[in-house]
Amino acid sequence: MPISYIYNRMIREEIKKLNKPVTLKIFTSSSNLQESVKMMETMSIYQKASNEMLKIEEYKLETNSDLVKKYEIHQAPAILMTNAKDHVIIRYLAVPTAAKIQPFVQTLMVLTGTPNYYENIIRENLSKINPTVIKVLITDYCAYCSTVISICSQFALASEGKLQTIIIDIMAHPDISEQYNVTTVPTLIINEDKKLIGDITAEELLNELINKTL
Amino acid sequence: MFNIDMEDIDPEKTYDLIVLGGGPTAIGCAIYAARFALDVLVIGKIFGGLIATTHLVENYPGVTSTSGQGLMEMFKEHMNSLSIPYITDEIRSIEQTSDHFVLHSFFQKFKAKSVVIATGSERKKLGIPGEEEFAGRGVSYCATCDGPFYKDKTVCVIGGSDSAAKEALFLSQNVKKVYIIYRGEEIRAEPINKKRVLKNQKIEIIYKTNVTEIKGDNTVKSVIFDNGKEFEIDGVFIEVGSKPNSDLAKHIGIKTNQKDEIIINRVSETNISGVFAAGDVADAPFKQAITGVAEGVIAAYSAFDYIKEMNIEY
Repeated sequence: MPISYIYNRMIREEIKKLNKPVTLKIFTSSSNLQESVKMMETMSIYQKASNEMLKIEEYKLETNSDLVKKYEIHQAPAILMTNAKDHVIIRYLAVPTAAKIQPFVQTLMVLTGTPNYYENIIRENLSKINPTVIKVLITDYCAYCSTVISICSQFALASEGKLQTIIIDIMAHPDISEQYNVTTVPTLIINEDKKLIGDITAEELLNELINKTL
Repeated sequence: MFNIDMEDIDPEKTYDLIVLGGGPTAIGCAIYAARFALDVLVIGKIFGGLIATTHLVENYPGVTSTSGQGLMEMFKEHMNSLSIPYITDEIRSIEQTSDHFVLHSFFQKFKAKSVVIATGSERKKLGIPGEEEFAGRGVSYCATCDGPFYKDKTVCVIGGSDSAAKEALFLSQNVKKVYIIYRGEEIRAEPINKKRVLKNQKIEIIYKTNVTEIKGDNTVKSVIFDNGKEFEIDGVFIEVGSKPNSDLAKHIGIKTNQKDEIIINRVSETNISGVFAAGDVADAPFKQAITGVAEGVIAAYSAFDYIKEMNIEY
């Protein structure tokens, strides 16, 4: 289904704010063709409206086994945001439409040098944070998911590789929804161990990461 | 965050006005403040506030029908057109000095000559056994967020307000059956929504009944009524009203009433000079998005007037 006019307009408005070049790797798969087509159609809108700031490198899962192994791709389509050392910091198993548009573009801006709101506090507490994978389970219609995506993405970008954030649209990945028995969004899965649900604040997440009692 | 870069966040900068909140009241206030040429900053915990979880808004004049998120997108567009900066954060304390306020979040410090508290309200909990245990496992406070997980299942909405009616109507689009469980004899929805509920074949109302416990194993399986009956259910949506987010206000000595609502006068002033309040956090007999926005706009005007009278040079 083609992306709606409203989201199309929102994407074009938001991506105009990107003023430095960034390249994203996107993995697609013929075994998830519908989502992969939707992903590439959406990213094409982003790219065309970005004034050449956004470049996309598409890789097919089936013909890029070395990269699939290197980046540990288990599901596609997937967008990878990597740091200077080519480590994956943020992974989108979600097409960035609807509530994901604004935090997605904001993340691209921080990735390309816009200062990070949480940078100082994350850096101050870095020694107390263990390597952590944060899975952010969301849907398109979730009112609070946009805020939580933004927080988790900026935390990952400020963490010098200690945190990895994976944004997962569970309507596109019902198997993941079932795996974690999700009936509410947003839901955060912290290192496969802890579940946080609802409108989690940045402070609550930070306290969780440094193992403080709230 | 939008319309603001970290480089612009200077802890020594004093804004004319900082508006606390992320809903229509706060945004409406900020729009007018910007039009009054006030240097305004909005700090909200969640953009959109409570209305962003509503699937249907039909009573905002000028807007025939939209979703709560749709309404807030319009507000955001208006904010963006005026380049009003918005930060996602939560202010934990406010200090008052001789001529300005210092606002502290966990992450930053901000200064302002005046403050509007438009922090809205949050949904009340029932406070019954099983409610916390099953949060995220069959207990929800947001039908638009979580309704899709209950396709072809049987759910209940606890409450009899207009919000409860709307939640039931939204859920009925996807689920097999919705029960509204209400302690009163008649639900208190707007007549238009009450009519829709009563006509809807998938919705059944259970009157004069309280839920006293939520039970299940991995997920919710049943609720217990106050008559002792156990009622099988797959999901519980709780819509029993809201309580104002006024803790921050009380902390700095702002007067509240018995319902913890901030007491304001007709020009949105509180008992502390330079601090104004508006919307769901304030005392009003009838709370809607439009009435909140109106109070927010008046608060912006009052702040503008206050700053003019201050006439402090920096």
